[in-house]
Amino acid sequence: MLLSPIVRKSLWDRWKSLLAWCLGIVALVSVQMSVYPTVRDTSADWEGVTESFPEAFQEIFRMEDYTSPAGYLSTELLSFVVPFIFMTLGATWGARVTSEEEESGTADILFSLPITRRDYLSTRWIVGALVLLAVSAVFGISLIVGATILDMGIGFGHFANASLMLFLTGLSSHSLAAVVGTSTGKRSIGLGSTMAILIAGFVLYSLAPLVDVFDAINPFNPLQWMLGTRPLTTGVDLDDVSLLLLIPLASYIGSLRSFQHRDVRV
Amino acid sequence: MNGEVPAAIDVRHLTKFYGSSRGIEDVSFSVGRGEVVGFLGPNGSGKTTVLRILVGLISPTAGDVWVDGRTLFADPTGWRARVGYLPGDLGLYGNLVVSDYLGLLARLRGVNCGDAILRLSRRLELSLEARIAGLSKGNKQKVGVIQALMHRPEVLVLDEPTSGLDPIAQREFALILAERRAEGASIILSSHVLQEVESVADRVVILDHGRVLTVDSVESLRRRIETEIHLSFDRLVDLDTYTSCPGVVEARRDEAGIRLRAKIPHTEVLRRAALDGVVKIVSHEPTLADVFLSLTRSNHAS
Repeated sequence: MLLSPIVRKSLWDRWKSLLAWCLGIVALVSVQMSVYPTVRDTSADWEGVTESFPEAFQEIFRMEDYTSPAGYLSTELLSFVVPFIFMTLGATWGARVTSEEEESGTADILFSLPITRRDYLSTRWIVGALVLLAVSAVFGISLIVGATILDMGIGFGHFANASLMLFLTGLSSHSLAAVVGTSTGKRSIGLGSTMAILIAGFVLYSLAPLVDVFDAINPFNPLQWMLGTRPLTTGVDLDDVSLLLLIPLASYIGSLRSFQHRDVRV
Repeated sequence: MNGEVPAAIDVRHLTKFYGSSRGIEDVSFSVGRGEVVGFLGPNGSGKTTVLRILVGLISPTAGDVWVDGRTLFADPTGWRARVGYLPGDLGLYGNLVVSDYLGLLARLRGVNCGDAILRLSRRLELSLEARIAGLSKGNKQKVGVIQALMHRPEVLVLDEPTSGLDPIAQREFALILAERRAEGASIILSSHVLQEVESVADRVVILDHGRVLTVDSVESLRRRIETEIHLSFDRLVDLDTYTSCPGVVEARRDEAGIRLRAKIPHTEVLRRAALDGVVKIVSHEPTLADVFLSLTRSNHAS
């Protein structure tokens, strides 16, 4: 059961932060898109520059088609920066799902109320997911507005794909941080360990084109599922989407199991 | 268990280990309807652990709590609807104003407590419009007290309830507690203010090092320890007369009369003294503090 007072309080407590994240995303998209006309107008020069980069570098940052609208946006926004923002946002919300109350000392009164820990955790988990959905929608809308103004010729469906992949990326990060945070009752451990896992995954993903061993294990790397698709050109890979859905599902079940069976920290 | 009061809560052999360190071990006691049970113990004796188990915040390693013939752990959510809990380390949402905070808790409880909140805040002289972060420690404690009482719970679990309250608020709180008790609420109260426990508790559970030292009424506990009595006479009296009185542990003569160490009641000693024409009696009646110190000291010594 969703606890509506907790939904309202969670959003009310963080509305300024949420607004800042949204404005930041809009600003980032605006700045990057404002540069695109220059890139487009000097495409011949840019193609020479990008071709001079090592192949692995081009692969990591998806620079194979840098001067096309989809190629430019994929490289500048979707290769690392925006997914990293979503990972951080997701981990920040996920780590505090239950540990925020425990660390601030408010958990004793809260969990002495006739609410189940399952309902509380589920509510907070869903609030985090809704926040990610909202920010990914803001990102998608910013892209659509910018692309329309600049006449980029990219269909709305592709932007929806990009938003979906970012949402799933953030949700995976959110759920990983939630499972660690709810298991330990410590926000810093939830946030730190999740970011460490994601950064390790990113290093593996980045170096996979260069190192055979990494390349062999990269298909099992969540970062490959998150970043390996080309939502603005080829669309989403349903296998990656399915795998990315498994992370939140498994982590949610893990969070429930650990939180329902452990002591509330003081 | 007090034989006159049917048990509402029956705590049986509760044990809690935190990893390899012991929190409490084999703690048993019961609380009847309309009964106030005081919890006493030195710091780290396990009082808060017992209270947190009672409200379902932590699970016992062993043992059980029975409520109306059913284990508390069968329906912890249903049980918590019947309980009002005031934790010792009070954490409130500082960014909310008092009325919003109490309203939030009421909504989560699924009850309308508007009138009760208003009434209690007036009695405790707490502004409902103040932001919690700006409140003094005592006023924050009042917020904690109100949230524990506002839904008229059948069971109150209070950890250091008067901590930080001024004497006026303490007196009002004692009155509220007495009213709730008269209505049949079972109250478990932990406090370092021994006088407070002495004045409100029917029975006392004394814990030390995670174990129950004793469970008894305040009066029975007082009877357990020795009091020093000094009797002054204007003539020489027979010392043996006093040595043979019930409860007297030691009697010796001094220059002004007789000095006794005796357990209460001192009825027989006083009767004899009156017959011997006593001119002055100096007695230190044992308080709960004396009992507490005596029991915990002897436990530490053993």
